[in-house]
Amino acid sequence: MPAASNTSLRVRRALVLVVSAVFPFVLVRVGGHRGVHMARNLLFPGAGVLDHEPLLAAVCAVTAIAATVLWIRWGAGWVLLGVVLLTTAISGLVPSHVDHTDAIRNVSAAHEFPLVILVMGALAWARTILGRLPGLRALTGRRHQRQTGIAQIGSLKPVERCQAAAILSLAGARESDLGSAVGAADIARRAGRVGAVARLRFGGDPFRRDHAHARAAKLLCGLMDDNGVEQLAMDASATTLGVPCSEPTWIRPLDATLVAAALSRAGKAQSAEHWSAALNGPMALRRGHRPAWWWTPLDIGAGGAPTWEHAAFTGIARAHGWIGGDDWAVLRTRAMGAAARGAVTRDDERLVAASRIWLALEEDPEAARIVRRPGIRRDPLACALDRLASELCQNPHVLRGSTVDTPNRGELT
Amino acid sequence: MTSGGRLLLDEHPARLGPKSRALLARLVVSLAIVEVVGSVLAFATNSDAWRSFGTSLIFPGVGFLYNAMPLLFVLTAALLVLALVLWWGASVHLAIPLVWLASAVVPAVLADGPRLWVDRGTNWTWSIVVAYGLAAAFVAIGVWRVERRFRRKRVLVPEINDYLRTVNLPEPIRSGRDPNAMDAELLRWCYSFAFQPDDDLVGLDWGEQFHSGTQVRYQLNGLVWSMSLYAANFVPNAPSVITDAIERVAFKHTDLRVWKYWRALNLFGNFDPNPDPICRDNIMFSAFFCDALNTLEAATGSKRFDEPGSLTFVWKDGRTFPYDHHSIAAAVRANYNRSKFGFFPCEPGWSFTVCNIMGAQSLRNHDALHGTSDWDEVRDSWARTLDEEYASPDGSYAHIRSNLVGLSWDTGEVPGGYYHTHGTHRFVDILPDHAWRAKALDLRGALPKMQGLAAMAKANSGRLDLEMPAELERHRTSSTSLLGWIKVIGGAYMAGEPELVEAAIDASERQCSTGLRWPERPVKIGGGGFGAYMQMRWSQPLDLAGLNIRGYVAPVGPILKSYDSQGILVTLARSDDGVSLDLGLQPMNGPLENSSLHFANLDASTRYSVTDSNGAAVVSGESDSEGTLTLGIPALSTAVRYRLGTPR
Repeated sequence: MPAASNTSLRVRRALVLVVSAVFPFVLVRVGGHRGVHMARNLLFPGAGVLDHEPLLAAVCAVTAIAATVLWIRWGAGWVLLGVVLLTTAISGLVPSHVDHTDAIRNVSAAHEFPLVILVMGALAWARTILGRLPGLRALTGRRHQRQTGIAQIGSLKPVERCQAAAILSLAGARESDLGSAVGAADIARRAGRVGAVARLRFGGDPFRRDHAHARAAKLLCGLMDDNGVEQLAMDASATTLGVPCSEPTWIRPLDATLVAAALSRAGKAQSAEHWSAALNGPMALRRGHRPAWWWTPLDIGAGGAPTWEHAAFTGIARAHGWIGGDDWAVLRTRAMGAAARGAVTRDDERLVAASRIWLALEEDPEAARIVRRPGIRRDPLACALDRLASELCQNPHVLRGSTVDTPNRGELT
Repeated sequence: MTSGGRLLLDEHPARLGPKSRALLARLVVSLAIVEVVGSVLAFATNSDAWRSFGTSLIFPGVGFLYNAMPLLFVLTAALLVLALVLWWGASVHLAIPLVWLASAVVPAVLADGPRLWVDRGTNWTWSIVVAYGLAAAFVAIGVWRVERRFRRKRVLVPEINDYLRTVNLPEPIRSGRDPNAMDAELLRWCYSFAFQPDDDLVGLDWGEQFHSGTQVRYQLNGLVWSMSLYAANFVPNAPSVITDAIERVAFKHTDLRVWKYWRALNLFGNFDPNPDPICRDNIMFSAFFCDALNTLEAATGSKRFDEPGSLTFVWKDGRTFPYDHHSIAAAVRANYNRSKFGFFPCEPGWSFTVCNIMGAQSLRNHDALHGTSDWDEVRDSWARTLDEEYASPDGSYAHIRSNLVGLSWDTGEVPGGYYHTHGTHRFVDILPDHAWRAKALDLRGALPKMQGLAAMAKANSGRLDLEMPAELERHRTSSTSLLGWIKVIGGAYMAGEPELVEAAIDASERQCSTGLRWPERPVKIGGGGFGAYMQMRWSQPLDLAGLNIRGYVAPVGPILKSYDSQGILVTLARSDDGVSLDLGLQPMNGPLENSSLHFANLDASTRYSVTDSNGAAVVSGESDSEGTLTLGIPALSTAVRYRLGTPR
C-alpha cells in the first residue's frame, strides 16, 4: 500500500473520535437544557426539537436523510456536516415550551419519547451508514424494465453504463462500439454535478479527480489521452488503497477493480499492485463479505457489498490473479440460488453472470450446471459480465498481463 | 380369487381393509371422546360458557346457536367447508380441528356478551338437541352412503364374475401407423418446446400447482411420454435429435417453478420445511418423474440421467438436492418401505391410487432397465394394499384414501371417485392379472359402443362423420371436444379396432385442429390433455406399457446419424427388415435444396439408393469405408416419403 502518512491518519481518527465523544458532553455542560437538545440533535438531526416542534423536527430529519444520501452517493460530506451543524444550532436556538417547574419529572417525561426516537434514529442511521441498505437493495433488485441486452447499454444510468462499457472492453469488445456509450454527455454532466456539489468544482474537466468508473471506462475504451492517464495514476497513488475514488472520499470496489485493470493495461501496474494488496488486506473477505465502500478521510471500510457486485469485482480480480479463490466458496450458494430463482430480477441476473466469471476460473461442475442454465439477455450490465465470462471460458488467462496495446477482439452486438 | 387363471372378484368382500379399519376406529374413538366431553360439559355444568363450549364439541358451531347467535353458526359451517378444502387440497390437517375448537372457545368467551336480535344472556337450550341431531345425521348420512354404495356394488359380484369367466378380450393392436401431417405438426411443436432455452417453459398452461389441472409437472411428464412413444414407434432409426429433445424436456422437471409447490405442502402437512421434492411423500412428482425417465431410457437408450447429480434440484436459497434416475427410484422405494399404510402419499396424508400405480410402475421398470429388484420386494405389500384398502366389490378402486383417518370419498377428480385401473400402463406391467380384469371390466360397457363406432367408420370408407361435444377440462376454465376423442381413441385401442383408431384420429383432427404452431397448440386443448392426445396418437405398435416392458432395443438397419435439424423435420425413420430404411422428411421452414443426410450402420459392401414413394430413384451411391453414405436431397416443399434400400 502507498506510503500514506500513518501518523496523520491516526491523528485524524483520534481527533474525530475525541470530538465525537467529547463535543456532546461539552454542549450539555455549557449549554444546559439547550445543550441537551443540541446534543440529542447531534445523534439524530431533528431529535433536538421533536418534543416541542415536531414539524421542524421532521424537516430536519428529512433534510439530514437527504444530506446523508448525498454524502454516500456523491461524497458531499460538507453538506451533511452543514446540515448537522445547522440543525444542532436550531435545536439550541428554538425555545422549548416544556414546563420546567416540575423539572425532574417533566424532563424525564419530556425526554422519554424523544429518547426512543433517538435510539431508533441512531439505529437506523447506523444501519444506513454501516449496513447494506436492505430497503434500498430490495428496491434496486426490482424486476427488469424490459431492457434487451448489450444493445441497450445506453439505457443504463451513467455509473452502470461506464461499468458495463469497461467490462465489455475487458471482454474484447471494440473500442469504437463503446465510445458512444462512454462519451455520452450525461456522464460528463453527472461528473460535473458531483464535483460542484461535493467539492465546489466548477468548470474545467469534470473528470480531473475521482469518478473512477467513468475514467476506467474511458481509458479502456481508448478515450483518454496520455495526460489523462498520468492524472489518473496520480489520483490512484494519492489514496491508501492505490485506486482513485468513485465519488469524492468514497472508493467502491467494482470501480476500483476496473480502474486498476485499466491502469494495468496502460502500463501503470502500481495501482493494480496496491489494489491487490488492499483486496488481501483491509478489503479482504471477512465473515463472508467484503466491504461495500472505503471512506478515505478516515480510511475505514465497512458495509457488505451487494452479492452481485461482490461476485463481479472479485471475479475480475481473480481473473487478473490479484486474489485467490476463497470468495467463490461464499458466493456459490448465493449464485445457485439466484440461478434457481430464474435470474428474473436485475440483481439476480447480474449475480448469475458475475458467477460465470468465477466458473470460468474455478473447477466446480455442480455449480456450473446450475449457474449456466438461466439465460442472460436483459440487463446490459449482466450481459457485459456474461460476455466477459465467455471470453474467460475460452482463455482463462486473457486478463493476466494484458496491456492497452493488445488488439481488441470481437464485436459488440 | 382366480378361476381358470382369470382374476375374479371376491364374493365376500370386506367393507374396509384392516389398516383403514384401524384408522377409522381411531377416528371414531377420538370423536366419541369429544362427544362425551361435550355432553358432560353441556349437562353437568351450570355455566352458560361451558355449556356453549360443550355444545360446540357435540357438533361444531352449535354453541353459537346455544348463545342465540345464528349468524356465527352459519359462519362456522362455511369455515368448516373451507377447512375441508384446505385439508384435502393442501394437507392442512389441523384445519378442521382448529375450526372445531375455535367454534367451541369463541361461544364460551361470548357467552355473556350482547346478542344481535335478542336480549343479552338469552340461550336457546333446544340447540343441544339440534347438536345431537346434526351429529347423528352427519354420521348416519355418511354411513348410509358408504353402505349403500357397498351393497349396490356387492350385489353385482356374481353377475360380473360370470362375465369374467366367459369373456374373450380382443387382441391388442400390434400393427404400426404411419405419421401424417398432424403428427408432423405435433412433433414440430414438441421440438419447438424442447429446444427453447433451458430456463424457459413457454407453451405450457400456467396456474395453481397443487390440484388444478394446470400443474406444470404433469404437462412435462406428458411430453416426455409422448415424445418417447414417437421415438420408439416412428423414428427409432433417427435417434439423435429426438433423444436430445426428450432429455431437455426431462431436465426441465428440475426447474424450480415445476416443484417449488412442495415446500408449502410439506410445511402444512408434515410440519417439515424441507423443500426437497423427492425424499418424502410427493409421489405425484417423484414417481411420475421416475416413470418418465424409465420411458425415456426405454425408448432411446439414453443413460444421461443415470449419472449421479444429473438431476439436481436447487432451492431459491441455493441449497441443492442432487438426484439421478437411480436415487429417485431409491427414494420411491424408501417411501414405500416407510409407509405403514402400504401406499405413500401425494400431499401429506393423502394416498391416491393412480399415483401409487405410477409408483409401482416406476420401480418395476427401473428394475427392468437396471437389473434391480425394488418392485419384487414391494409388490406383495403393494398389491395387498390395493386389494384390501382401496378395492370395492365391483372391481373398481377408490381414487383416494386418507392415511390419517382411513376415509375416502369422491373428490370430483374422476367420475364417481372409482376406476378399474389408472396410470399410464393400466396395471399391464405391474400386475398383469389385474390388468386383464380391469380391461374386461372397462370393455363390459365400452366394447359394444366401440364396435358400433367401428362399424360406422367401416361403412363410411374409414371416416367418422361425427363431432364430439365440448367437455370442461380439468382446470375448469375452458372446454374441448378433444377429450371425447381421446376416450374414443383409447377405447378403440382397448377394443382392438385399428380402423376405428385411424378414423377417430382423423375425425379429431378435422374437428379440433387450429392451424397454429408453438407456443400455441395445433389442436384445441389445454396443456393437461395435450400430452394425452399425442400419446393416444402415437401408441402403435408400442404403447407406454409395451415400451416399458420391452425396454430399450437398439434399432436395426441403417441409422440416420445426423442431419440439419433446423431445416429438416424427420417424421419417419424406421427399418422393418433390418436392411432398408423408410424415411419421412419435411422441411421445417420452406423448401430445401441439397440438404445432406449422414447415415451410419450401413453395409460397407453394399450399394444403396434412395427412392421416392413411387419407387423412382432419387440418388444412389456407395457407402464409404466407415459405413456412412452422404446424399444430397432435392428441394422439398411438403412431407415426402423415401426409402433407403439396396437396388434390385
